[in-house]
Formats: sequence, C-alpha cells, structure tokens
Amino acid sequence: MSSNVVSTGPRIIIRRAQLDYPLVRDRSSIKAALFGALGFKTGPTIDKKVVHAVNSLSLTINRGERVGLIGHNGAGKSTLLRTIAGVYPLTDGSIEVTGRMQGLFDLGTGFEAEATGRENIMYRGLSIGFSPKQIREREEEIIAFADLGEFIDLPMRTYSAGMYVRLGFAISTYLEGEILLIDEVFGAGDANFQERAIRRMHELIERAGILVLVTHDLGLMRSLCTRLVWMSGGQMVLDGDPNEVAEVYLRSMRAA
Amino acid sequence: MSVQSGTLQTVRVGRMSLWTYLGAMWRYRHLMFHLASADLQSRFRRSSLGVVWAMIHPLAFTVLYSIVLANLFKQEFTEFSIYVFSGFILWDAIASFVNLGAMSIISGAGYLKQAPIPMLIFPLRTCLTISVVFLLGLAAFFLYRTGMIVFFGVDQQIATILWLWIIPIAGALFLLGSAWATIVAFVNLKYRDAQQMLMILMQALWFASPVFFAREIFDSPNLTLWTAINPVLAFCDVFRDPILHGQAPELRDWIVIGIWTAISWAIALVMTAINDRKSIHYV
Repeated sequence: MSSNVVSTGPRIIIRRAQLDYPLVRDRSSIKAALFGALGFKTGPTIDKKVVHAVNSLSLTINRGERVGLIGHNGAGKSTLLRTIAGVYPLTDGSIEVTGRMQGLFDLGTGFEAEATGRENIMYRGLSIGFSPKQIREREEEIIAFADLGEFIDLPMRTYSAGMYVRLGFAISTYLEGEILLIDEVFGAGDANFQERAIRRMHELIERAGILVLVTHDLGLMRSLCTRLVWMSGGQMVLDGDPNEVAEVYLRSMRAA
Repeated sequence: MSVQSGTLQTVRVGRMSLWTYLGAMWRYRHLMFHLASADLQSRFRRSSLGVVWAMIHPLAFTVLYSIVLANLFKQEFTEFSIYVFSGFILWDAIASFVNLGAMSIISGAGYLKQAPIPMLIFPLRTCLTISVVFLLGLAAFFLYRTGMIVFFGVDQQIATILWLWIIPIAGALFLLGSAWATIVAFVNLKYRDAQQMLMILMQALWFASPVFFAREIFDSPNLTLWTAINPVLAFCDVFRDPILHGQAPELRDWIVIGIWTAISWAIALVMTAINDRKSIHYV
C-alpha cells in the first residue's frame, strides 16, 4: 500500500527481521557451562529451545502512517515494538529508523523508589535519550499534567500504582518523539485521567510523524489507525485498511 | 541513504562497532551521573547524619577490629589501627565493586527495558557511587590518622607531597574495579548462583591479602608466587607506601595492577560485545 510513497520525514524500514530468544534461561547453571566448555557432558542435554518471536518480517512505515498491530497474545506484537525501539536485539535482518523514537512501554517501571517524582522526571527523561536541559524545559508541563499535587516532591515509594503510571505517561508524552511506539498504556489511572490521556494521545498523534500502536481495543485501533497489521507466530498475516483487516481478523477468531 | 539535517538515523543489524558503542555511552553519560548521585542520596536519605555515615562506618569498624586484633596479634593499638583503617577502606571498595557490581545490570532492568541504553552504563554507575564512598572513607582516615599523630604521638608525618599519589591510586582502583564489576554483572545475569560464589571467593581473597593481616606474613617463601600476582596486595602496597611508610609506591606493584587492569578490561569488553542487548532476555 503506502510503501511506494517517497518519504522525507520519519520512516521505519524493517527487512526480514528475525528475533529469537532462549527459553531455557533459568535452567542454565555455572556447572553446566564450565563442564560444557571443558567438553564434558553434564547429564541429559537440554534442547536449546528458542522462540521465534519475530520471524522474517518485513514492513515499511512512512511518515503520516498510524499503524496498529493486532493478533493473539504471544503473536510477537510487543516484541516487534521493542525491537523497533532497539530494546531487543535482532538475530537477523535489519531495521532502519529515521527520526527520534519515543516508546511508551511499562509505564510503572524504571523509577527510583527513594527519589522524588521531580527527580525521577530527570532520570526517566535521561533514560529515554533527552538532555538535562530539554527535560528541565518541560518539567513544569509534565508536573501539571501528572497532577500529583504535593506528592511530586515526595519519594515515589509513597505513590499508588495509578500515580506511577500517571507520572510515567506524563514524562513519555511531554518529551515527544517523531515516532511514537505505544504498548497498551490506555488502562492507566482513573476515569478522569484516562479521558485526559486519550485526548493527549490524539494531540500527540496529530503531531507525530509515525505511530505504531499495540492494544487489544479494536475500537480504539479503528479510530486512531490508518493501517492495521495482523501478526501471528511472529509473522505478518495481513496488512491493510483498518476496517478490512479487523473484519478478517474477527472472522477468523469466530471460526477458531 | 540521505539523512535530513536534525533527524536521527539508526540502522540496526546485529552487533555494533566499538566506536558506535562508545558514542551511545557518551549520549547516556548524564543518566550515569544522575543515577550514581541518586544512589548516594538514597543511601543516606532519611538519616540525620546523612553522608557523615560514610565516614563513621569505617571509623567504627576500625576501632572494633583493632581492639580485638591488636590484642590478638600483640600490637600497639594506635599504629595498628591506622594500618587496619587503611586496609578497611581499600578492601570495602574492592569487595563492593564485585558484590554490588554483580547486581548492577539487573538493578537497571527498569531502564534497560525502555530504551536502547548501553548496558555498560550500569556497572559504571555502581562503581562511581563506590568511589565516592571510598573518597569519603579516605577523608575519615585522614582525620583519624591526624588525631592519632597529634594526640597519641604516633610517629608519622601528617601529610606530605606523597599524598598526591592518592589521585592515580583512586583512578587505578576505579579502572580495575569497574572492569571487575562489568564482568561479574554479565556473568550474574546468566548464572544467578555467581553472586553467592563471588561472596565466598571475595572472603577467600580477603584472607589471602594483607588487608588486616601484617604484610610480612606474605613475604614467606611459601607464598612467593601468590604475593607476586595478588592484585589486592599490590593495591595495599601502593596505597600504604606513600601514606604510612613515607615512600613512593614501587614500580613492581604498578605493573601488577596494570596487567590485571588490562586483562580485566579486555575480558569486560569482549563480554560487553557478546552480551550487550543479547542478554536483555535475562534481565
């Protein structure tokens, strides 16, 4: 569909991306590794099981596209998102990204519990690649949006789960990127905050060059996305118009 | 591929070059320093004496150990306690590099799973914190030793130009310590029993080094080889020579430290090249 458009703005080009990861991670031991290295067999050999989380997937996303990833749990949607972000390494293939990326994953993690909310704005901002100056410039807006009152200057261990997510959401959406990668973050906070969060997302999407979204809310997908990609077993099943893809996907779900 | 000015371009295909990696480290340098300072703050937050604890801690241990050991080894308390103090702060740093270093990457999981941050940032963050605690301990040591000289007539000079040796010594300690922290951090990611084994290993190293034990013991002919290669002993020597014995550190000790540092960093860099990002599934 849109991959033939010549784009000058942000762009993602994925070529035969492959991501395998080991399944038997908790069973590896020093003993086995040492004896293995010395050429000894250590009991019954465990098959090195790997999961092909992303399996030879190619996809080009151009400026202005809002792509929704759908599929069952374990289809590789979140893994693909994190692979684009550079969190997971490729086993094979390549991913080329032009533009500043901003990922919204796990909003409740990556905070220093003993530090205040204000201090954590700095740490999290730095961890997603912004400079101290850029973060200070946006600090007041982030604090206003998170709406934590005097809690902003208290250690984060005193926060509720909802407050963690509110602060995380505010930081990630006020330090913007040209490419937004969003994984299931809409269930955050109370009804009032959710409403503001969705409104904020719409604003962001208006400005962002590219959106890649993972959510199980097909209604939200249809309202936000211009393109849907259906994934299964780490591979692409169907790619196209949101309504068409959603329909085929739902039909297959009913048939199963 | 043309790139618009002002936009970032990243191409990811398996492994990156050392140069690209160092560039990424440089981009995340602020994160490293801010997290190290957060560690220091949280360590002393909510305590009324705050950072002074980093000085009281080695002082209290020194007095305790010295009372027991000076009696046991039939030593003069004042002079012996200075020896113990110097050993304590040095050993506390070395043991912390290994024991805290082992957890350094795991404790950065929350950040590592959000963005492509170079993993090496996290052992370095831990080592920066340890180094600051070491310098605070050193300040406490200086005060204690001055007190012993002024009030108890210990026959040493308060300060000489030789104290400047502290700068390269602290630098060398950070260099070797951060290589060790990096190695154990990656090993501990895959093999979680490593941390337990390391604690035993470090205890053994403590017994086999002149941290509190008299240096002469290690001149025994049975220990010649071990004494020649033991990095902790070399550090004890370069540290105590200028401060306790009024002489410049010996070249021989620097060579031992240099070789250990070069080998350790070679291993640490190879491990980083092999494991960084691949081991994210173990974090």
